[in-house]
Amino acid sequence: MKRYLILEDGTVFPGEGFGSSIITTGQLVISNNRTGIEQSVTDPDTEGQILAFTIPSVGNSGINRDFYESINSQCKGVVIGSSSLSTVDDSVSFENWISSLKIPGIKNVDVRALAKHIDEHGEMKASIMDTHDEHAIDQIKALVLPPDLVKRVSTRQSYPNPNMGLKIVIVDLGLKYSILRQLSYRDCNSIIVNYNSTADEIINLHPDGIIFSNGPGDPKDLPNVIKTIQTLQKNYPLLGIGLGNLLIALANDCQIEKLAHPHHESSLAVKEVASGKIDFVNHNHSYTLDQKYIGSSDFIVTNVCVADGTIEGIRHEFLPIMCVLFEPEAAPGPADGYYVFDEFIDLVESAKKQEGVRRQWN
Amino acid sequence: MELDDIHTILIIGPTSSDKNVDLSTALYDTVDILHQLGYKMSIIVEDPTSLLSSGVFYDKSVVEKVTGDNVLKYVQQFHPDAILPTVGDRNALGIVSSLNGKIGGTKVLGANFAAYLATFKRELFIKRLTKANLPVIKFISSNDEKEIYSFIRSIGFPIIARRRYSNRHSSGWTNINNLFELDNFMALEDIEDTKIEIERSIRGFSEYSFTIVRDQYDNSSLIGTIEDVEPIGVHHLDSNLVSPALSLNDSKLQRLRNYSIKLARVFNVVGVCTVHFAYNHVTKESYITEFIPRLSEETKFLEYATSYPIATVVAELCLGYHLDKLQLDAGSPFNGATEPFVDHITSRFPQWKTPEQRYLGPSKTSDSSIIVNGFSLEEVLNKGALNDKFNGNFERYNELRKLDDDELFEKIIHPTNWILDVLSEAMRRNFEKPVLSEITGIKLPYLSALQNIIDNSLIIREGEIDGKNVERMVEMGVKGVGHSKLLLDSKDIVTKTVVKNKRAISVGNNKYINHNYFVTSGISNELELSDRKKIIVRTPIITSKTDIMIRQFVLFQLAKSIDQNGLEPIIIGREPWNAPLVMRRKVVEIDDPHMEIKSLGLIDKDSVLRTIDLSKNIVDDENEQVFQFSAQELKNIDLEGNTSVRVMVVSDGKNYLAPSVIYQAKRDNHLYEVSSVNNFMTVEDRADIAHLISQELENYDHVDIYNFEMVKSHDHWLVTKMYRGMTSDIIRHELASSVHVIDTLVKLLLGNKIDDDLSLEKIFANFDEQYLLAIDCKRYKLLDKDEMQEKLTEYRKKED
Amino acid sequence: MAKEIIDGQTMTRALTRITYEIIERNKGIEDLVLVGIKTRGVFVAHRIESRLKQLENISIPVAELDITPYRDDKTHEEKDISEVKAQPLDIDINNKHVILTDDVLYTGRTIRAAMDALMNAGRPKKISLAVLVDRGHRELPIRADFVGKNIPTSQKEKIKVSMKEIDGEDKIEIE
Repeated sequence: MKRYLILEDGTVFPGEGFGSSIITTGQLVISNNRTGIEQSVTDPDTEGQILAFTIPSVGNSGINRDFYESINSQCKGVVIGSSSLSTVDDSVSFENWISSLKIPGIKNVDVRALAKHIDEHGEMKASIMDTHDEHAIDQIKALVLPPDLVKRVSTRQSYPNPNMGLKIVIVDLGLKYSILRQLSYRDCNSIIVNYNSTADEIINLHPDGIIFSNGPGDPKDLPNVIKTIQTLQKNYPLLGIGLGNLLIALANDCQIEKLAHPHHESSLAVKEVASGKIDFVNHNHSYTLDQKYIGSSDFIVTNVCVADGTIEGIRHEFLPIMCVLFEPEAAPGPADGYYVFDEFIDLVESAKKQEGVRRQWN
Repeated sequence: MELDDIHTILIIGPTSSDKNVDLSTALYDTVDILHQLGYKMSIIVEDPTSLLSSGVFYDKSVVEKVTGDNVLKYVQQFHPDAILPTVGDRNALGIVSSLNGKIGGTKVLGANFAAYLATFKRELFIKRLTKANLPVIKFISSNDEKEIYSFIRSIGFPIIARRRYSNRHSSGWTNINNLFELDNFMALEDIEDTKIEIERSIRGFSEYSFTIVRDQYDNSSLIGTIEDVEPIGVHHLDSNLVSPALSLNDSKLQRLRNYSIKLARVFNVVGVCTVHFAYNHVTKESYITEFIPRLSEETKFLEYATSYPIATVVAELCLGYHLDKLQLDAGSPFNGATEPFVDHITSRFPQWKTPEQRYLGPSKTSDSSIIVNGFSLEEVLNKGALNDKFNGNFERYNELRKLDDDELFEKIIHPTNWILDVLSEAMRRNFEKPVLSEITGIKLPYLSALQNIIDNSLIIREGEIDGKNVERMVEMGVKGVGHSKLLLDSKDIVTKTVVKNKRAISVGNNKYINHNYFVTSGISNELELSDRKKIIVRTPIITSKTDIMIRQFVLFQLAKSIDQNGLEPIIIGREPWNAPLVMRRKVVEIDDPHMEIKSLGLIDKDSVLRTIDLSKNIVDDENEQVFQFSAQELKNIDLEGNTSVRVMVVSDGKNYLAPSVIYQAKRDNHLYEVSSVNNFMTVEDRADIAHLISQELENYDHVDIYNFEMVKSHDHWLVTKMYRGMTSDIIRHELASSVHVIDTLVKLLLGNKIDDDLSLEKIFANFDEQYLLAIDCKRYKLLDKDEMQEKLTEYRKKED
Repeated sequence: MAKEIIDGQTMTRALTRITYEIIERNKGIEDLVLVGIKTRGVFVAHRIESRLKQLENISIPVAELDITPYRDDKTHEEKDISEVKAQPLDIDINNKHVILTDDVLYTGRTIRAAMDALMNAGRPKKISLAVLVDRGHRELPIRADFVGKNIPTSQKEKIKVSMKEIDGEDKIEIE
């Protein structure tokens, strides 16, 4: 059936509907991920988003349910150019999979034109509909997207991911399972807590280190988390990933800004400032850190995006705090960023050992 | 930053063998950037006309057989700081691996000796990879039964096996799938000193290739991935290739990427490395089958597919530059640290000179290839492998329809170069797709795409094209639908034939600007043209290597000249043309496999000054604005002589210039050809020849190029052949002559005139200092004036 | 046979981490001086220096200390290290925080010799020690402040550190 992707500025992209036939609305995000449709669709970061994939022949490589990043699908709709009718490993086809997830999809869309439009005009709301009359466009314009995205994806109850190593508390702002996979691989004894947990609740778990995870939406909608960070950071090693990074920066009087050209790509180069080493990692963020504020803060810039110079990682000069804006757990994307977890483990271990020494030095 | 002890570089050039791929653009880009960065270069090359350039980049051009001995001789005499073997095809790697320990302080760029050696020596390759824990096909060579059986137990069936005899010969590989076959193989009586060699069989695995670039600081990036439509067992370059590798999911892709990077690290490749994999999607086994640490057909294909300037980048990386701090030319910085994102499919399909069916196997049989782009598998198949214009698919279809099911099945079991047509026919007869996939090793998504095309072509045949399915057709790349009035005049937003840039929208690609486009489907056009007046150059399909060289050369010279004359060159071809980088950013290049662009009306007719067409036969046109560039015979007299000349003449319709004359002498069963003989001609010869040209041109009054052949007979010249337009001599004429024929032609086409009453000196003027001597069209020598004079005197003595 | 236990990437990461720790434990790096013990300690010092420069945009001085002939981690022959006259340093270390760098920390005798040499050259405010590898078996009460990697070894084993600047590649092997 002919359906339409309509942007809030009134631009219309025709296509063919598949999956669920409901009308859907969300923030439109252009994803240049080369692989890992499964990961993207189930990534809590994509809560409330309509995802437009720009790769051709989507689904050719098959659908692998081991790649899920959460139990359920998260995104509100998918937009693609061409799809593959069958898969190389004879797994379920992409379109059938999307149908089974009850997500509305639209295919045969000129995704190049769409990507170009968003690149020129910025990210915006969009809707997948059956018509494209004025009324439909007015509806999208009037629509306010809900600000409680993190609340919707964060775990309501704390749960453990037990192991024998360091005890890491993860504040779930929209946690991807692959972060847990990386921690399990490093024997971490993890406890995942709701995003609104207080500092005291977290301290009572006696963590060796704390991770503020990735997540969707605007960090300014989460003032409580910022307060929690301010209390915890004096005494615990912290790792901020994605949204977690932005919140840690905000907790330390830094500012953030929207990227003119958002990063949603599974393999973009990031350079480690200290060594000049280049890594290819998954990016999925529309915000970045404001260079001016970082410059005058106690943070040093540890990673930058090679293509556009965006700050991709910071580290506190005196406190054991490290952050990355990119997704070190990959999923999808190259494994080049896994070392971030090793560094965090080192940071936690060294903080444990240096506990006494630190007092003496400061 | 760069290796500061390298100033002089010896480049191992290509051999003139017809089997080699054409790397002329890559070679040009390499020497261009090195020249701009201030390095002094020499090159050893067999055929200097294969360089696309007239020696300006080189300190020394050594025209010799490209062999280890000649390279060694050069190194011992001139002591270059480094040797660059990455543009010399496989031959150069062989040469370099034989030089270990013989070249003193001269560095070898690109990789270490072990790497180059391992591309030839299977045992070394396996040993190194095994040591590095990289997956390589396990291999045993032994005469100990115990060892052999224990090896077979460890790898299981299927295996391939052969006997290697003490005289270093061996039997052919035998496929062994079970105990019975193994017993049969082992039961053969062994001759003394025979070793049995056994390998895990990977027949039917899917083939992938990954290409990475790496700098000396261990930064690597994956430039592109390619998958073969046909499975292992069919030579990579006889397969239909698709980039990116669509059938790899995230974990498979990352695994192979990690292997590729690790392999480059193991062999310390600094530059480019293409790694080939065999992948089994059922068992998830993967093996590295080979690696290529140099520029190759793959890198050329990926440069088309991704617009990443691989050749230029590799040259700089070899010399120690940081991956993220490169230059496109002296002064424009380039970030090479990007894994280029492509949002479309690029497909390369092989071409054979003759139309008959050929069985495909591990040895390459194809003669050349064509590349197309599209946004779906259906589109690239329809524009490429199933494009009747390229492959005569309709003929194939008619032939295959005549076969009964058993005959058709035979074609499925033994793949030929018609395999996609065979599969289409099989699916028309409702053969089961999973069965076809299992037998042929062709992955299901390709079969589904074929099915989709079949289903829709039925609609076409039944004439049911309407508003509902026409957009679907356009998306599938069906010829001649996208610019139908139904779509172009539609008030609604519809999918129609449009022109898109090859560069996808990505943060990583943002700073890299090019004007490479392809005709495809979509709702909006991306073609951006400048205000400059335009000259359109149309290029035909080309299959032979010589013709490819000529096209590369002529297009490059034409584009350069059009640009230098203040105009915008627009190159439109059925297949893409990758200009050398220096021009790639200046020309507008459009791939148009169905020749649809004209009907789209995107190029304002008034802005086009001329159209130059390189086809042998101009199909359509239309008006005299089209200038046909290729040769048409005007005269042909069957007269042979031992002494003759070939003259290229460019005329404005009234006066003419003859800047390049090739002298040809048959002596003692050899054919000697001397370029730019202008500077040695006697006054009488000039007058004679000029007179003949004037006579022949009397009736032609427009701008054109002419080629004459004149034979000397009884002390007089006779015109035996005359062509208008360009013959295959163009490269030799152009390279040899310091007056650029092509540039002169463009100027004349733009309305410039040749001065009246030029003296004979001026007409034949040529300022060359080096002269090319070709012997039997195989061996070449570059001589200076005195040396050439000596040779000529010798040849002239024996003129009839 | 030599077995690679640390590859180039891990070594790079270790040096980066040491750099972060140096920043973290010093409020401001202005009064830092890096002194590398020849041969590979000097490369360690230079690598840390270049990282600090990239991160903090400050160049801190690097000096070389040559005590090669007297290293006792190569032979067990006792030598009176206090007699050693090290080459004079070409930078002022008075009132500076000196970070002494070496590739391998073993018995501690090399470090003691180096400290003596430093003391002869001036009066540093403080001396810290950064090493790429700590392999144990100390014979003196010396402890590194910054350690790239702790590698338990037997005394019979040899640790071989290769660095790009001199050996062509980065790796640590045990044999």
